[in-house]
Amino acid sequence: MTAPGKEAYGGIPEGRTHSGDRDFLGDMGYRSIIDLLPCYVSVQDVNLRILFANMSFEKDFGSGVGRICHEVYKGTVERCPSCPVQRTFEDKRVHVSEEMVRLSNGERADLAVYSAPILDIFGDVKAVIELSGNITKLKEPQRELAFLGQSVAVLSHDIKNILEGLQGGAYVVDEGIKDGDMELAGKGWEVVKRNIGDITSVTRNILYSSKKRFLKRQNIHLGTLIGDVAVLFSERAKAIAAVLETKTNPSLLITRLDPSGIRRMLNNLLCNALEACQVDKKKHFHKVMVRTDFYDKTHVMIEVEDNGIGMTDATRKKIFEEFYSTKGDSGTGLGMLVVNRVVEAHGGRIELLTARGKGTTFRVILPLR
Amino acid sequence: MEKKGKIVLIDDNKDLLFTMSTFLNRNGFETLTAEDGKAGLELVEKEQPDLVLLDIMMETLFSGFEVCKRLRTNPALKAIPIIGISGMGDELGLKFDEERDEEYFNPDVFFEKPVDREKLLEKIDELLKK
Repeated sequence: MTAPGKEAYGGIPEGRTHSGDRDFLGDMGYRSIIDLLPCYVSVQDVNLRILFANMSFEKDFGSGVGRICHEVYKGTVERCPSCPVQRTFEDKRVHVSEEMVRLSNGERADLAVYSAPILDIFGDVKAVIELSGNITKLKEPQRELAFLGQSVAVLSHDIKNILEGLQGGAYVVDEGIKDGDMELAGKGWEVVKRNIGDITSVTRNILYSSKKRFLKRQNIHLGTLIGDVAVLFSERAKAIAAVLETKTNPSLLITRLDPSGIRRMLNNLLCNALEACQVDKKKHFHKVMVRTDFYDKTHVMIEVEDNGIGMTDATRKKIFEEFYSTKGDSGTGLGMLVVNRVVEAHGGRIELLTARGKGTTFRVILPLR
Repeated sequence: MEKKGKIVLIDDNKDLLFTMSTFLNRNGFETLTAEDGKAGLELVEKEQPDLVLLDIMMETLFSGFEVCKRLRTNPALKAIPIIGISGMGDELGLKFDEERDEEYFNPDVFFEKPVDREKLLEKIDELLKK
């Protein structure tokens, strides 16, 4: 056995199979096997530049050799905070991490990433080999569970209101019976019945949100829909002395989208925008703008822009992580989860522009069809 | 029988207004009700009650937050005790945050729905004695 690394790096010698396997492998050789592995294999230098990528990698991410790992995987100029390759360069050990990446066809995927050192004759890390398996399918049930949990948290607000109604109604019925006042008891009973109706519909909502939601596309006028949502938020904006404006390109007429999904998405984006304004104590004037326009010939875009507090680098990273997070039991986690679900279901994508102290713009780009 | 005090109830839920005012009437209080924040503010200005019972998450013109802020910043009304009521709890992390919301929202007491009636009466008595 040769020292690890010396020969391995720069190409694996052909034909070093056990003699018994030779017939089975024929002329394939190791390179062919690595190419065909149902996982992504790459070798990277200390700058995370890809020196080698197998065929599976190139099939899903395009040509990788010569490019930087995080640029290929995530389209970002910054290194991933959890980068296992970098850690392997530092301590020569095997590391594992979970990363969210974007395939070249635009789809997102969860990867389990393993990194291992390739040592030179001096025992220094010359390069790192990275092996990633696509675990998107495994993560899906986790996300579904998180979504259900968060939906229940939201619904518990409604449930508490209903409990209040039931408790109050029952009290009035009791008092009516006690005094022989059937009119009062009847009024109390009406309250009880109304709240029984409400709890029935809440229960249906819980069941509904626990199932995979299918889009119900309808012909809608986006400008009108956005106007309707904005009206709901006008009072909230006023309460924090912020201006809420909408602007829609008048030639954007009818689009086929799921109105209830779009409404839910906008609710969450507007909530976030107004909250960002509310916590920003530095500016005297706050504004949230919802802009709707063509993005290009085949896409429409909805922008929600605020001049609130903006995000720190850490928050910016976290907010995208939370799209995939399984722990998001905070309020914002649910909001962004819903936004992401709606955008993904429409086959769209979301862009984020933010600067601490200046503000944030979420741009949702949806295909027209 | 002389009433123990005058309470203004502000809630956008008619059922809650009805059941809560029935409860308070039967426990010796005079009650007046308003279905939205704006009407509630006007009622408080006009009636100068001994206490205000305020729903926080009203989806009407003037939320409970806004009503609270306006009462607290009005010299003639700021001494009136306010009891805040909401269905919003810890699970959303949206519960009243003293530091963050003090400026806008500082009720004397906060009750989560469903409201514990006995505790509510105790708190009302306590606040009216002050």
